[in-house]
Amino acid sequence: MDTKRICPSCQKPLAQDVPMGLCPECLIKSGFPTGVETETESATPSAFVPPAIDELARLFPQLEVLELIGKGGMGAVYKARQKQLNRFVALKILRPGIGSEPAFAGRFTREAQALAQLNHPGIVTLHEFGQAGRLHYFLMEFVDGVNLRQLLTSSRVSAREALAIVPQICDALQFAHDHGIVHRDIKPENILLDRRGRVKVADFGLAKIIGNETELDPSGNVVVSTSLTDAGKVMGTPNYMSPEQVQAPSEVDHRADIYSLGVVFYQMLTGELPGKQLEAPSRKVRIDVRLDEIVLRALEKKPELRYQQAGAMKTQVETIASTLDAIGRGGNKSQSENSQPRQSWTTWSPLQSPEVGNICSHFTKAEQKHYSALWLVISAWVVGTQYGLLVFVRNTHGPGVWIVAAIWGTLFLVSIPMIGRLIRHFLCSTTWAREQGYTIDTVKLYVVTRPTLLKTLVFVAVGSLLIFGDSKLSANLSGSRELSQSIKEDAAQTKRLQKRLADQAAKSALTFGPVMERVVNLESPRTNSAINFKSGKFVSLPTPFFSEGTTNHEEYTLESKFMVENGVDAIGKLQYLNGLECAIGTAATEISVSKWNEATAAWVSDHAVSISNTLESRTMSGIGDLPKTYLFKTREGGRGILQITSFTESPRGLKIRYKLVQLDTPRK
Amino acid sequence: MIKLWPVSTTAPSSPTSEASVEARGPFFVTTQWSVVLAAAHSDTPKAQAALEKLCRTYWYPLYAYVRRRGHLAQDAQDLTQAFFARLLERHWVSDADRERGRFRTFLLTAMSRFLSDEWDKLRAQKRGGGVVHIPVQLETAETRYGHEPADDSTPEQCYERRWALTLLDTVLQRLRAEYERADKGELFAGLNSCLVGGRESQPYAELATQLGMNEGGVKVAVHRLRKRYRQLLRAEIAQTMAGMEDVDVELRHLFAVLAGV
Repeated sequence: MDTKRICPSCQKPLAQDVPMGLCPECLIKSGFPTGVETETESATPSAFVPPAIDELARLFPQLEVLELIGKGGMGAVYKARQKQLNRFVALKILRPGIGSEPAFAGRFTREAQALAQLNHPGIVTLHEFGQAGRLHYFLMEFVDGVNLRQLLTSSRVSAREALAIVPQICDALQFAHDHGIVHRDIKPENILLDRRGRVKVADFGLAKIIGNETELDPSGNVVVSTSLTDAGKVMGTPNYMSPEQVQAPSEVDHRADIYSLGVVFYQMLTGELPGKQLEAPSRKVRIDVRLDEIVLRALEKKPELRYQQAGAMKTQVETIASTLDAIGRGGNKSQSENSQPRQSWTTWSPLQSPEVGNICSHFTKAEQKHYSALWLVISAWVVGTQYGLLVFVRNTHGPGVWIVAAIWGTLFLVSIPMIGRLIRHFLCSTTWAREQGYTIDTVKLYVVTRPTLLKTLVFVAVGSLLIFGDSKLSANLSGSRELSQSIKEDAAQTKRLQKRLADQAAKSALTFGPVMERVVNLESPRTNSAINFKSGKFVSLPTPFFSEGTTNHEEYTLESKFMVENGVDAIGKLQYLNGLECAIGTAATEISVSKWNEATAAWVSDHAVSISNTLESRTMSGIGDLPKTYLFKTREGGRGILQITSFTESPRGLKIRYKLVQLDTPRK
Repeated sequence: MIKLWPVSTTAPSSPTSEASVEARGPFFVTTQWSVVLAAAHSDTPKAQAALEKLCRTYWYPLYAYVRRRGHLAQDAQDLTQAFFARLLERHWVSDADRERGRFRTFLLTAMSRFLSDEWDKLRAQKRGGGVVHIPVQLETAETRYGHEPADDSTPEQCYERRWALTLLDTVLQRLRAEYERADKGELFAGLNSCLVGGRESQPYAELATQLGMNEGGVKVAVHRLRKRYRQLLRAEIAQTMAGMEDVDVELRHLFAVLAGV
């Protein structure tokens, strides 16, 4: 009898020619990655099998479909070549199931038209869209490069690179926002980088049109179009979605994109996603602290607190990028000597634009010297002419003076743009600037914004003070010097007084110090001892501090003393001790703090921790209403506050956590 | 300057999908089939070697197809021989436009075209003269064919099934060779039944006693075996694909083929 073998796993009979006696079906099944369902191609409503290239070639005769480059839940993307135009394009095919929904056609068209409005170097261009056979498709710009996800998984993006990428994303987003389009799904997979390092934001598929479209309802009235999302359907990738997007997906605005960008930025800098407890990036990696501000602000839970415009975020990022001090220390990648940014006096100048700052920080040593020399000459020219004019005006009299002064002034003003051109010429001739492709026309010397304007005004004010102020004083030489001296002294004294007041105020503000922790060994208590909070050790106090025994609580005043007993977990009143020594003791019942005359009721609790009298209870954690706050008085009369935050049992004894602040120092 | 990724010549990297990391595997920049396709119009020794290797592995399904088409054993042998000779002279790879994606489909289409066009012409002229070296073992072909299940599947179905089985066989042989080279031949022999079925349903305890190892060690060994098998399987499939075609798609196809029988 020829018994047919059965596969132990799928129970099907095994044929004769199976490899190594193993069931081939099961073997193939084992070939799938763990956790993947094995369903036959025909019967998968949920698993999406991208159409084969042959099939696509049939549907798109004008394209040469080359290969599949990506697949997701929504569809698949192929690389193709438009035969006639001989250019590469990305063909995005949507999952067949999607097209069958009734509302889909309208959504699809709107989505495509929204995308078509966006013509920006940082946004993946849409060429065409439609339906071929039963498949819906988009024809988009092909980006020859990688996406940010691949960069993130292969090697961490350095802070410097992040600072180069983020502004480009901001640009693209700002452009889209200006057109009323919110991306809603910013994530590393959707950020593409081409081989030249240019950023392109892709997949505006979840675009929401904000108020840009109007429709007519049946009676012919204009209706503002509603969002594209279905109520209740959440679109977007959870990790990158802003809180408001998670909760009310149909009501998000462009600030949700800023949040998502913040998440991406955070991930680029630290390599991780921001967790529940948001930690500043500079705590995780060594980068400039100013970047923290940007990232954290973008990640604010409330949209009102974030950057309101992507462009604003971009400016901030670029400002930091231009100083580049951060990047020298934070970069993970090795950088060539030439592109190592340098901080120098040139980057400080108040007026200049970030671009100039950028170029200046990439000077070679020779360039730096030349630049300094150039500025020296220019300053000499400016100061010389100004001062010369002054002297001339002061020392000559007569009507001609003003005419000469006017001519002089005009000539000077005319020379300013020439100086500007000279500077720009120099900057553009530096190696780094040439690399970056700056030309005389593209370099902006100065940027007039509020902060630079302010800085300039300060600069001018100081300068004129120096020149004019000095000349004024030189007139009344002797008297004024003494006067200024006394003024200075007064100022110094005022400052000292102010500081003293501030200190006092600070002290009285009563901020608690840090939480301290001491483990108190209760193994061998001695009756006449107290615990020194500083060291956690027992100290013995002189006997006058201890009375015979404790009576009922009415008689507990602050002068009474306590004892430590083994295993009892309570603190009663603290007492007098030297510096920060406190006696801990037990109290049989509750103790009223109000006995302390000068207690400020606001933060001192009314009752002490009520203790369990049973010595068996060794569990210390959280007994009573913690935290408990107590006043204490040191031996010299200084007063302080102790707040016990928790007790826990520790193998070595009793672990007490507490905070201290001293109210005032003992009067000597 | 943003540092760029290493540039690969054939396959641009693909954006990640929801598939697990394991599914992606290493990037198959130069699979055998892609090498062959890339060298379509020029003869490079590398491409020639790649094509030969592919043929050597997958000739049998083709033979089964031919036999199933109704040709007699002797004819089938001559036919297969001639086909591969032709193929290795690289007459058809340049035409492999539509079937670019997979070697499997290419081979089938090429063979069916050969059968309809060229074979008749060739049969007419007596092929005498030198024996061309074909990397197929035709002597064993008929014996193997004898073992084919006698059912009424079409030649194409037979071909597909055979292809899948050949693939599995190749992979398993390779896996076994690896283990034997590492002096773990007995381990492989003992554990190879664990390649089927789920991870939880393996009889770890029994195997442990059989092999004289502790259960934990068995679990680890089985896990490693299955993982390596998966890698080899996917690698072998990828060798017959041209670019970033989804290995999963091909796997699902193979599964469907085998399940249908």
